[in-house]
Amino acid sequence: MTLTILSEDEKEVLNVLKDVIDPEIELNIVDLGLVYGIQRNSKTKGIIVSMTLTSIGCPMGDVIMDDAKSVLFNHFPDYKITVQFVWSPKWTPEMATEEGQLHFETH
Amino acid sequence: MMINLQSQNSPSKNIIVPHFVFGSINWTITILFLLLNSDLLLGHHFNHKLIAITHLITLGWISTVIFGAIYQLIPVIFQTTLYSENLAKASFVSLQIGTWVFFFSFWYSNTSIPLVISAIILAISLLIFGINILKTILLSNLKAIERIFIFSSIIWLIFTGIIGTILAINLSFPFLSISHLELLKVHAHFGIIGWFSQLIIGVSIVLFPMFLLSHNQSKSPLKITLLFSNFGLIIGFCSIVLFSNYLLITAFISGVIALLPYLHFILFTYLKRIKKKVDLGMKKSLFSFIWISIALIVSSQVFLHFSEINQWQINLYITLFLLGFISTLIMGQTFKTLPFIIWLSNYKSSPSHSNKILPKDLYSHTILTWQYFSYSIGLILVAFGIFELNNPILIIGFSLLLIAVLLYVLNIFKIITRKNLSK
Repeated sequence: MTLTILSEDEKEVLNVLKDVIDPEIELNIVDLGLVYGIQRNSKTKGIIVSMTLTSIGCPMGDVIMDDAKSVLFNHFPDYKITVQFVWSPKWTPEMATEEGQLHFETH
Repeated sequence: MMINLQSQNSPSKNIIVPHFVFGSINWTITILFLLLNSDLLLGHHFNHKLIAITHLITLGWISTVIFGAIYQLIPVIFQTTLYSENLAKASFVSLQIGTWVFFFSFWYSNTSIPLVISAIILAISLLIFGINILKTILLSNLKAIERIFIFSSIIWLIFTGIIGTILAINLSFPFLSISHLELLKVHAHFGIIGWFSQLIIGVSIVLFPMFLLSHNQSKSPLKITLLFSNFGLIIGFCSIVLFSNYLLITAFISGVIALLPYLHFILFTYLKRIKKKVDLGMKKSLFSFIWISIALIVSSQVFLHFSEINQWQINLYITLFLLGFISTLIMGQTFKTLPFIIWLSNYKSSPSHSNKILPKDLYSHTILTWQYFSYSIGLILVAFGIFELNNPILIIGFSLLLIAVLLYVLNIFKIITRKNLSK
């Protein structure tokens, strides 16, 4: 799954999320392809991130969500941050970005 | 803004960590006993000291660590919480007390009241663990083959405990009409194949694809593994009761048929992995499958050549299975599981998010590398020493295993004493 076309504001959110690392794979969640959708509304001051995990039972799920909320709040303190997990479509390694694929080859 | 972690299904680290600490200490003492009494492996397996050491390995080391690991992995595999942490504590305490009383009873050949009492304590411990996990499984709505494997392994664990208690009572107050030695084989195989192997299969088919990023492997062929391993165990039991060598051969062939789809699954999980670099913990875990393959070849000599069985074949088969396959796998997976629970439990108290170390940074990779090589070479020498009936080689082998186990303990303490996750 690829992210739908993002506005410049939403791309900014995506870049911030690159600070969130999956502790087992040691790759950020954006290049890992875990972020499925971003909605940023400047009027209502809300950011909604839809993301998944490499597997449903991933023990790091809460930590990744917590990190995502933290980094977003640090960059967008006036916004209400919502991070939600979605399980469809199921994540596959092909969803990783080119950087992500390169990481798999070398790490 | 204060963001709290969402409620986690993981049990408290105070439940899990003692299992790893006591398990690794028991493991060190076991190897020390084996080093000081290595000649035991050159004689008959029905020796009170060898039985004492075998139970220290299976209960004090393997079962203790497996209990802790299972509590940690429950949320990953079943996506639910552990049914009761109090039952986990009760099971842990009774397992440790029972194991050591049992060990010394056998070591000093004291087949009387302490042996029977310790066997009953152990049976209660296993039953408490079994009930706790079965209740947990029932809390989960997940319909997957790993759930059936673990369910099945718990049932075999309970049977293993019951037969073990019967054997202990029979040693003190003989009442069985069938051969004690034959029932001991049933007890051993219910434990090794039914309890350990089925549990390992159930857990590894979830964890290995997760750790290696190897998705889309079909688990359907593993139904053959489940079916034939259970069938083989039942037929194996019947072969003892009915004194039938044909049934014993059928049981062995069933075991081989059961193992093949599983080995195929592990091999393809490894070959189709996305993550090309395999870390040391996984390398050591994967190395254990070489040991089970050799154990299988040796066991064919034990099961298919009744008239020519040599004692060294039985000792080698059991050694390869317990010290080779299961212990190597546990020592490897320790570094894929324990760092995570410590990392998670210290996570909240570490203020910085961007500066945090990762779970893999909690232990020394240099120590793990030395542990890996020392254990592998030591085990090869032990296997060769049993094959050649050569005690000096066994002593060198066990010395290397002792070094490896001490390094393992050192790394475990390094992990559990880490308080701060900042770089």
